[in-house]
Amino acid sequence: MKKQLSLLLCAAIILIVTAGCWDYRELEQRGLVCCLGLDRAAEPGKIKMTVSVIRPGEVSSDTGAGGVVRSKAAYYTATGDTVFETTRNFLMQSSRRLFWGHNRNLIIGEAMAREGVFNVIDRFVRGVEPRLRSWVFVAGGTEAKEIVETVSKMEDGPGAELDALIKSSTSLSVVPQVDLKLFIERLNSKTAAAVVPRLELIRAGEKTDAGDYPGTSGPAGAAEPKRQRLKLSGTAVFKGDRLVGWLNKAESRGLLWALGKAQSSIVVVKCPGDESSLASLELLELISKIKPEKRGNRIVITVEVQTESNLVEQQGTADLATPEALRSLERRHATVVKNEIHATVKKAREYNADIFGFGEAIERKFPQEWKELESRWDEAFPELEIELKVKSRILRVGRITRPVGPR
Amino acid sequence: MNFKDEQISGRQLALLLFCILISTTILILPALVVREAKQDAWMSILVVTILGILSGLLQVRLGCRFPGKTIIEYSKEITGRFLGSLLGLSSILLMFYINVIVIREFIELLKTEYFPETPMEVFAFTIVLAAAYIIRRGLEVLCRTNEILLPFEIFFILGGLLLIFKDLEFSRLLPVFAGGAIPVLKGVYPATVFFAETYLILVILPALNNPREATRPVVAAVVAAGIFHTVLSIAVLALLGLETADRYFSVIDLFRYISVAGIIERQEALVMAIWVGTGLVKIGLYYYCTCLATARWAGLRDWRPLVFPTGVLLVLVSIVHFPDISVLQETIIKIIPMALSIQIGLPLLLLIIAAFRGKGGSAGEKAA
Amino acid sequence: MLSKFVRWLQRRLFKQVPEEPFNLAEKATKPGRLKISSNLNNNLARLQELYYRCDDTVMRRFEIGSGRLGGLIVYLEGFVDQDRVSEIMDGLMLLSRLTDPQCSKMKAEQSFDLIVNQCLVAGETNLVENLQQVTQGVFRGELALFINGVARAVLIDLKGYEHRNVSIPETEVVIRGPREGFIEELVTNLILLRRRIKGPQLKVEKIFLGEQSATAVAITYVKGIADDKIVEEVRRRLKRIKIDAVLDSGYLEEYIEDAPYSPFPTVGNTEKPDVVAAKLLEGRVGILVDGSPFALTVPHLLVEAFQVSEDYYSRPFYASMTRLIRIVAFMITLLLPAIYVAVQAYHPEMIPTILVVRMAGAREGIPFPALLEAFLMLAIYELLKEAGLRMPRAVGQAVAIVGTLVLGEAAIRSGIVTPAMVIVVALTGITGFVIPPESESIAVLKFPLLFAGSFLGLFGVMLLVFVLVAHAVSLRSCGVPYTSPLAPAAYGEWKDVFIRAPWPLLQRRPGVIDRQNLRRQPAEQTPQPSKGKSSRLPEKNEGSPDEF
Repeated sequence: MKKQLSLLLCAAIILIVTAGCWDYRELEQRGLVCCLGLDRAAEPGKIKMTVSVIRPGEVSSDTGAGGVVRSKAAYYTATGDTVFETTRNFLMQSSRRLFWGHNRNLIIGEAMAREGVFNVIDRFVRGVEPRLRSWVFVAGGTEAKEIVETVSKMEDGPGAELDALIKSSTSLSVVPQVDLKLFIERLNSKTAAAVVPRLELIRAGEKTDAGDYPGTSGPAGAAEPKRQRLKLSGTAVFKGDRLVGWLNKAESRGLLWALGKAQSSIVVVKCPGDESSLASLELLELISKIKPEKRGNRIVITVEVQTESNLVEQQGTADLATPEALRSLERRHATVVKNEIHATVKKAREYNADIFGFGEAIERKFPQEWKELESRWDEAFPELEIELKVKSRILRVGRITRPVGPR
Repeated sequence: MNFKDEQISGRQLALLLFCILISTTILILPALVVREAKQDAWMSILVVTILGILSGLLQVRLGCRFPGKTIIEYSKEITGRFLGSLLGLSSILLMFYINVIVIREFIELLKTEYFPETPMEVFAFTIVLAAAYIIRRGLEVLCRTNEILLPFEIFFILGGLLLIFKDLEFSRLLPVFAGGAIPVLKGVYPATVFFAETYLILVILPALNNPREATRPVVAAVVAAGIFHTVLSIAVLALLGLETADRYFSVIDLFRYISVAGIIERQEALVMAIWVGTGLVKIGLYYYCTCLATARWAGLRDWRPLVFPTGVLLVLVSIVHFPDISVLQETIIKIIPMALSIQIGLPLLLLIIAAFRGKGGSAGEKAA
Repeated sequence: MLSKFVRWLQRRLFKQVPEEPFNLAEKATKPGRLKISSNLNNNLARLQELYYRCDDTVMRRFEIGSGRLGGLIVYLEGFVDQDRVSEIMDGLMLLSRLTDPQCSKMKAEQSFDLIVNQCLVAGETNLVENLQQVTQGVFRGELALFINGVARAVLIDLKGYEHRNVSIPETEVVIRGPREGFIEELVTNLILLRRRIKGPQLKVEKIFLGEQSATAVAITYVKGIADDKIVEEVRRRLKRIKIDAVLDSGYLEEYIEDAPYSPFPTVGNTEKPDVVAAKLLEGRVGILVDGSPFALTVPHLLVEAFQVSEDYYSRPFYASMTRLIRIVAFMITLLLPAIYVAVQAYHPEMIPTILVVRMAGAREGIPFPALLEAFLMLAIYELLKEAGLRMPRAVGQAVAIVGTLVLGEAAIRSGIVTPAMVIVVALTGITGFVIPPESESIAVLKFPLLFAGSFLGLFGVMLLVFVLVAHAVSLRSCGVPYTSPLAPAAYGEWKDVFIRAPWPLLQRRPGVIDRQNLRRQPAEQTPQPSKGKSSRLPEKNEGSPDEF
């Protein structure tokens, strides 16, 4: 027994010493990718990848010094025929093997998205390292490369900033949050279409587009002329694996209303009794249901939306703390929601992309009918009858009953 | 050679069987069943649980008819020397082969998900070595090890389910029963083989300190495993939908997708912890049963000398036998008829013949 | 064999043979079955020969009863109570009864009996007939009295030597609970035990072990609670021991252990009499060794590492919490370095992103791989611990400064180790002290675990943990499974394993150890408000008796 044990021990030691630890890789030997951009390369058929790799040493040293603003990530660009080949091609520029385990952002360039993403997305599910929780974006109007470069120059933790941006967008609910798993699920679906938030680059001094809130361009742009910033603006709609068009801010929110994915959002309506002034309503709770119904041999989709909001702000002097005024506000709120959903449906029909997942809803409710419908979904979807039932409630008006102003 | 020094309690048997019913199975069962039964995979598993209880009862009944003996001895007693030893050999070979599959599956998991560059010989060697270490100390030690580790493993699994719960969408389980009963029954087929693994009690039943009361632990283990697999398959379906069928190890995704407050993320390494604990117990039990049955079959006095040669064979065959992972997956499907005929068919046959020829005392008589 | 060779070598080299030393000690301790002669002078001569160059022996001839009889007392200087020796000698010399006319005719034998039975004012006397027994007695602190004309001697127990007073033990510190600790003297230790369990049911069996040391070893147990089989097993194992000397109970520990090659201890030790008493009352057997303040207890189970005497003296919630903390500490100290290295080298995706960036940053420019870093730090920690233990107290400060400043601060500043690793190792070190009974096994085991973790990641760690668990469950301590009541599981007893249930609920002794007298106390002892008027405030000053 003791002899066997010592033999085994010797064997183990020899094994370790001679063969080494195969998968052992020190942290500093890994290039921690925090952001990835996928583009078409200039050469036909080639892929251009841009990664932002964290420079951990600088992140640490900066904390002590304080006030030193330096870029904490380096960005590299490489090209290749396939994603994985390109990934390894980075080794020609950087000694560290890229590690995808902490990559939270996957940005697809507009050109690549329009060509189709099936060929590049496989690796991110097949591989062990990439995380299914990475956010997916489409770079609107630019290459993904430029966005990754901008991300690399961000101050408090490159990658983390983009991550925080998309996470905090829940208080505004103007873009869908789509991670890799959700994206893949939609790509795998025969009928449902994928949607992805659109990421836009704002160059300093440039005017932001009309749908934006006034005043959000910020003072930083003016102070530092070279600074570029990122903005979530609308939604990219895929048909199959190809980008087919965009939804603007209102249409994006229409999608979220219908899917029940908006967590908090601001609806601005005109005050009842004082049409010249405005009131802000903050969404607190949203329950949405997509209900397919059979009417004769047709299938009608009913989208039921229930919202609960608070009155959070008011202009003008009208007294809104009365039941009548609140009912009126509720109707106006419902109208806004309805209009936005209608706009979205119109866009979806235009692109012929089932971004709501109506097909799946029908499948779940009427699996028999679906079998017949599935094969001709492309023709059926634009013709699909859609009914909207929106019920808005306003529960509270804040700490005061009357608006500020002389009585 | 007898079981005098090996005494396990009913509860230990139940935990042991529960462990082998869940261990390898948790990762590959959902994919196999979803492939056939689609969204209704969990129903298939419920059906399989009932089948599992029946097959477990059958095996217990046969085992209790011949107290203190293993299938190797009473198959000879029932069908005669020659045929009996052939049947015994077939059981031994099945045990060995299933063990080879389990070990290889283990290695494939490790190589695919965690250690792509480490050669698989290392894993085969270390796994079998650890299993050999434990079974040389006997069944009792295996049971106790399982008794200590199993609560931790269950805790990890439940913890994982709890953390992923907010990301589950149960609408992915719809439509229920869309394809009718046929897909559900088709899903039953690949799952049955995992639930019929209780047939190992035909070898270890004599070690039970109270063999007459084997029914309760066996049924309890199968029912618990059935509930466990149902819950897990529902969770996997609610996360991945029909994509479950595309994954080699679908439960991994359940843990991979975990994200709580940006702190607890990607806990797939936990799956490995669960897998090592339960998988080693399963490999150990098959290993033990193979050695013990072989020793009895060959009329050896002690089974311990067989541990080393069997281990070498396990390592070699598990590495050489399957050229790649797709062959392994195909083999798992292909072996089902053969496995079922030995796991369920053979005991049924033996029980019928024994009843006709009046061999062995029935459980009721002895107890009275 | 070797000494022969050395002598042969010496002969070859120096052409002369060193003189073979005449082993007097051997002759003294093995005098054969030498009968005591009735002639006092013969006895004296033989004793002088036996005790040649044992200058601390006192052999004194004197006259008993005003010269009626010749007497000889033999004792070891300083080993017996000098006052009582003079007292006895005083009594004997002036013994007037022998000069009585009645007694004057008595033969020496009769006088001897008379002296032994009527005149010796001492506790234990023992009549012996050969010099071997005399020698044994004398060297155990007894006084031997010879009388001319009598072929017997009487051994009088007059032990009285210097020893440490009962004091607070240094190893097991309690805040609440008795503070007495065992000392090096067996008699006192036994009394400390007797004071806690009163009555003849507390058995004390003495045996002497060690060819040279002849150390008194006491097997103690409570009759009716301890399993007779376990007691018999302990007795058998102790009697089997053939050993040169027993200088501490640690010597015996390795001889009675079930698995001496295991890193896990299967014999418990403690310095506190209350702990031993508690263990005896759970059906365990205690072994007390003369000259050692550490008592051994068997069977010793894994869970005892988590049970501290103070748990039972403080309130149950706090005690339960500290017990859970101990279990967590056990896991941390055993697994933390291994898991840390495994996760950062194999599974960095598990670590939160911000942390992994910090860790990677700290590792920039560190010359050693994480494994070596961890190994070095752990080794240095063990080294510091050992140095801190052995050094004279006066230089303690210096070592502490070198340890903290040079190894901690400077190592990080100069970029030899990462701060995270220092935290890990420090945590491992601190938590290691939380469970003293297992601290030795942990200190040893964390190294293989570290290697397993860096060789095969978490798979390696789990694999080794699995093997360790398998090893631990295969152990037995005096026939009791080492890991019970965890495995084989006895869920009813877990209320004294993971938590410490309130005393009224701990009605049973551990069933794995004790099979005959399970019930410790009757149930339903929790004080209840007495019925009737007690819902109001008591008017008189007489509380119901169960409130006290």
